[in-house]
Amino acid sequence: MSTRSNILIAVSAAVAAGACGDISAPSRSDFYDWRLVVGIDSLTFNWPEDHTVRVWVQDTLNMPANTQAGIDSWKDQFLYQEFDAILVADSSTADILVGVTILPAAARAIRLGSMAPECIGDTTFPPLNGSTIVLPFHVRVQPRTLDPLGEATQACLRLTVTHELGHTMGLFVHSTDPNDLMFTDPVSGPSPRDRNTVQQLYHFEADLTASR
Amino acid sequence: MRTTLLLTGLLLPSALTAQSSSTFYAGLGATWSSKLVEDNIVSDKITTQPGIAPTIMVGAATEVFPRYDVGIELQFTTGSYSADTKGKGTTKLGTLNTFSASLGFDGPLFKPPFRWHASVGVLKYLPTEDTGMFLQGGPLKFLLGLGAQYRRPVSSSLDINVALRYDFHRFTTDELQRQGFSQTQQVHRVGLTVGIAMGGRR
Repeated sequence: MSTRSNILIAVSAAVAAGACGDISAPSRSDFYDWRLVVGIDSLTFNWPEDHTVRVWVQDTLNMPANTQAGIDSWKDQFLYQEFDAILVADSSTADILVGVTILPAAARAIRLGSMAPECIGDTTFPPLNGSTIVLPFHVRVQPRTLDPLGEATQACLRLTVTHELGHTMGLFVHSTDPNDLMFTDPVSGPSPRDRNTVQQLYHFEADLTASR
Repeated sequence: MRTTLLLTGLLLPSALTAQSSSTFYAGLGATWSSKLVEDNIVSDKITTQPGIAPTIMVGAATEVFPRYDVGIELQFTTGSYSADTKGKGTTKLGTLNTFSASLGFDGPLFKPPFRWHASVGVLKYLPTEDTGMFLQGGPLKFLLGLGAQYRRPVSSSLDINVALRYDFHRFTTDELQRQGFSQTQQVHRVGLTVGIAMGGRR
């Protein structure tokens, strides 16, 4: 076989293998609205890509590990490191404070139909100074069982703190789909819709900034 | 295919050592790669691409026909990779290593000491952190390669060896597919190494 034939065969094989189209990005068209409605404005907030969000967590009921799992879960939704967060020991420098409310045993035994059986959580939106969010965000979770270190309650706390972290990332509106983590009373997630939404959010021009 | 390459990799070195016409070579250099992924989110166009990566290459070949060799070549590259958002800047995503093993054929090109090289093999992406598009690990891909080699004696037993390599593969990852990316990206790499060679045809 001549040198020319060998080269022709190799080049033909390479060209044939490369003839197909290139990788095609997903449309990400299935998402929900995240914007904060203030008066007639719909406002977007996202953490700047060069800012590592500092999260302080009350060290009880395994919440540091649950919060870290929540951070990791959100970071895993991104392809290009648009969001990063770490746990910090100093609450005075934190962007987000995660606290735990533990009610007396008698109170925990009370069940209200509209609440999740194992735990609840909420995020207090910080005051606005013009278009600046005055940090920190306050996240609070509350176990509602007699065994807050039990498997079911821990799973609930982990899911709830991940949901609340979603709010602090700029997902200010609840999803209407029960399959989404940002549904009012989530059961799992983040879902593909949560992922599409947060990916879009972090490539949207922000109306709000955050400052201490 | 993988079994064939594995068997070749295991059996060829012992065959090579038994042949007096065997050539061994090693080199250091650099490899450039084309983009791995192009993405569009909202109005951002994002291109992910490895940087120019330091490269180490070792190989061995033996003559199977007069002037034609067959051999194996191993190549390791280590470098950064980054995502460039058009008009907004670049984000470093981490360190991306690759390891490739290929079965190569080479023969005379124009006139000595130049030789052509063609290869088939596998390429494994080895990110140092399983994040982003490599969240579920680095993929293993089939590789086609072409190249040229220049070899010139510098002592009685040692030659200087310059190898120019081009290879091609199609890229995607499990995580990209999970996130809805379809098809695969054609990736071209060009590497240049300078090193030594000994044994075989001089």
